[in-house]
Amino acid sequence: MRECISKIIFKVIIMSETRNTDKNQPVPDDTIINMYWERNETAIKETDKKYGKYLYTISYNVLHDRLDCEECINDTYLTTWNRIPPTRPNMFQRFLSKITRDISVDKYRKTHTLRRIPSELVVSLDELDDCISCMIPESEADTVEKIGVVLNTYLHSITERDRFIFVCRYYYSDSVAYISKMTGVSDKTVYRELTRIRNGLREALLREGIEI
Amino acid sequence: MSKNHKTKLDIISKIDEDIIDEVTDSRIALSKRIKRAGLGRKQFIIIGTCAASFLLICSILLAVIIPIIKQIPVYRGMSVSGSVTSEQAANEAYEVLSAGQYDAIKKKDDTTAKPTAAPNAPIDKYFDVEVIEGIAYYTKPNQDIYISVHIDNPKQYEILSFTLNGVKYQSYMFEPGSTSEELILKLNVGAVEGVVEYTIDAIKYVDGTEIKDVRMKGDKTVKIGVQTQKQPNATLSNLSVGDNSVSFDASVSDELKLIEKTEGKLYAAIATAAGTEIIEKKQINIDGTSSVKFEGLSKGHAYQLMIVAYYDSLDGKGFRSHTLYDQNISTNGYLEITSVTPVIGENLVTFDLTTDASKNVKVKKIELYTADGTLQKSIGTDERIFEWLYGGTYKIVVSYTFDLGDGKGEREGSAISSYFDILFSISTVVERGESGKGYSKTTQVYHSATADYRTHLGVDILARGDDTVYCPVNGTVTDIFDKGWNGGKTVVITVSGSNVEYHFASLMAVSVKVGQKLSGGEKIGKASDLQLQCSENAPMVHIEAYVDGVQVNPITLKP
Repeated sequence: MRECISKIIFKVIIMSETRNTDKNQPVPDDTIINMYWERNETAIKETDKKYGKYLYTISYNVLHDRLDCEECINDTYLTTWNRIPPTRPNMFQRFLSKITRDISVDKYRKTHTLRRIPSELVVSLDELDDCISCMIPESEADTVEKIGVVLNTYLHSITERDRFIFVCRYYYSDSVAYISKMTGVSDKTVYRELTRIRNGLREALLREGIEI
Repeated sequence: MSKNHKTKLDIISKIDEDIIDEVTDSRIALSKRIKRAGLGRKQFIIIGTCAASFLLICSILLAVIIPIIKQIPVYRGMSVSGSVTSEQAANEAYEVLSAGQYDAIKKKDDTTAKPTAAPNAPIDKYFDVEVIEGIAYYTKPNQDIYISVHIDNPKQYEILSFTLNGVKYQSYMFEPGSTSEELILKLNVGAVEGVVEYTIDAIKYVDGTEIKDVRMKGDKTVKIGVQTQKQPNATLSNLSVGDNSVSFDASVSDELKLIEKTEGKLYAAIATAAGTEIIEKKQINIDGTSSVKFEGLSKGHAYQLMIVAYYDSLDGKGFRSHTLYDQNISTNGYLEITSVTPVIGENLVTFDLTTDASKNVKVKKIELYTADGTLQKSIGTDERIFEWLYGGTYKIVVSYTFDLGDGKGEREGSAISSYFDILFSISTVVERGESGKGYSKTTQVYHSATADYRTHLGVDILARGDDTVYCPVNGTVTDIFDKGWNGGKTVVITVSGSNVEYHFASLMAVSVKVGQKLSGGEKIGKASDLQLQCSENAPMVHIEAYVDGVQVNPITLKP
C-alpha cells in the first residue's frame, strides 16, 4: 500500500515538474538550438548560462575534481556545437546530460588515478559487487553483453521509481543524499531500496544462469 | 581505474537509451524542484530573518513609543524640604535649601540664617582632596522633613502609592498640596543621627481599572545628613620622639562612620610649630590603628603632629577638612619650655625655660600663638609672662641657637609648649562692667525681674548707660538670634580652635554678622536695657557657655 502511494506521488511530482519546466526557462531551448543552427556563438554562452551548473554536478559526481569537470563541460559544449546541426534534439537538457556524463566517464577511464576522496562514481560502482561479478575473464567478453541484456530486461520489469533510483545512482553517480532529496524519502530508505533492487538484479542474473 | 570498475562501467553503459532518457527527464524535473525548494528555503530564511528583525525593531520602538504615546508616568527624582504649610505647598512656594545651612532646614522666606561657604583651612592647599558633594540636605534629629517625589505625569493619572525604605505610603498619607506630579510626604527623621538614606522602590498608579507601575528614571535614593555631635575623634599612642624622627600609633574612632559614608579621607601630618605649613602627610586607615613615622626632621625643633580628616560633618557646611587631633612636639633639643601656668581670672600665663648649659643656648624669640596658628604676641627673651590675653587656646614657641663646639658654629633650634587655655575676665567684656548674678546650676537664686527663685545658668555683667560690649575671646560669630525670654539679641561666638561656645545675650545694636571672625577686644554690640527676667537692674549682659553642647560655667568652663 505504501509502495503504491509512493509510486503515485512520484508520478505526480514528475508530471507537475515537467509541466512547469517550460514556464521557468529564461531562454527557450528552441531559441538556443536555433542559435546553434545559425552558427551563432552566443548559443554556447546561453547554454552555459542555463545548464552550466547542472552539467557541472553530473561531471563532479564522476570526477570529483574542479579542473577536470570544467574541461569536461567545455568538451560538452564543443560536442554540442559539432552535433547541432544536423541534430535538432527534442529534449535539449537530456541531450546535454548524456554528453556530459559520457565525457566525464571517458575521462575517468583515461586518467584512472586514485583520488584521495573517491568520487561518487567509484563508490557507487563498488556497491555493485554484490550483484555484478568483477572477475569476468577476457574469454567471456560477451558475458558483458549478456549481463547488459539481463540488466535492461530487469530494469524494464521494475517500477519507474526503482528504475529512476538505480539509474541515478549507477549511471549518473548521484549521491544517496541527492537521490533522497529528489524522491522525498530518507537516506536510509534509499539505501534499503538500492539493496533491494540490486538483490533483484542478482536473482535475475542467477535465473539466466550467469554465475557471480 | 581498476579492471573491476571498467567492467562495471561497461555494463552500466549497456542500459537502453529509452531508460536513460526517461530517467534523465525525471531527474531534470526533480533537480529543478530541489533547486526551487532550496531557493524557497533560502527565501524563507531571508524573509524569516527580515520578519524577525522587523518584529524586534517594532518591539523596541513600541517599548519606547507607546509610553510616549500613552504618556506613562515617569519618576524623575526626589527632593527634600523643611516645614511647609499647606498654602505654601499648594502654591509651590517652598524650596529646598541645600548644603551650607547650619541649622535645621529653613523655609524660603527665613532670612535669619544664610548659607555660609565652607571655610578653607590654611592647610587645605597641602592636601589634594577632591570635594565630594554627596549630601544635599541637612536636618537635626527628630526633625520633620518633607520628601517630594517628582513625576512626569501629563495624563494626570492618579497615583496610588509609593514605597520608601520598604514602607508603603498610600495616597491618603500624602500631604495636602500634593498633585499628580508632586507627591509630598511628611516624615520625622527620628533620633537617628548621621547619614540617612531614603530609597524609593515602587510607585503605583491607576490606569482605568488596572494598577500599574510608574517608570523609574531618576535617582532612587536621597541622602540626608542628620546633625550629630558624634563626630570622629582621634588619639595618639606610643609616641616616640627622637633627634630626627617621630613615630606614633594613630587611632580614629568614628561611631557613625561619617568619614566613610561621605567618602572622606584621613591623614596623619606633621607641620611647622605654628601648624600652618604641612611638612609631610600620610594617608591612614579610617578603621583601626595606623603606625606612622616621620623622618628627616631637624634636631631640636618644634613641630605639630596632626590627624586631619576630610569629610562632611553634617553641620551644613559641606565637605571640608577637620583637625581631629593635634599635638605639639619638639625633637630632642637643648631648650625646654616648662611650668606653663595660665592664671584664671587674670588673663595671663607664666612659664619657664630650661636649657642645656653646655651647648651655649641663646634664646632668640619667644612668641605666643593661638591654636589655629595665628601669632598673638611676642615678648622679650628675658621675660617669662604673657599678659592681657583674651579667652582662647594658646601655645608658646621659643626660637634659639646652640653651639655643639664642633667647629660648625651656631645652629638653630625651636621648642614648643603644650596647648593651654586662657579664660576671659569680665573686665574684657564690658569696660566698666561689674559682676551681677553668678552661675548657679543647682541652687535657686532670686530673680527680681520675675520676682521668683530659679537657677541661673549664666553670668551677668552689669553695665552703665549703653556700654559697649566687647568680644573677650578670639573666635567666630556662629549665630545671632532673638532670645525672647531675656529681651534683646544673643550673639553666639565659638572660640577659635576649640569646642567652647559663648552666648552673649541681652544685646542691642549688634554690630557683627554670622561668620565674622573676631579677635579679642572687638566690639559686638551694646548692653540692652530691656531685662525681662534676669534682673531689674538694666543694662546688663548675660553670658552663657557650652562645651561640646553641654552648658558650663562661663568663667571656669566647668559644669
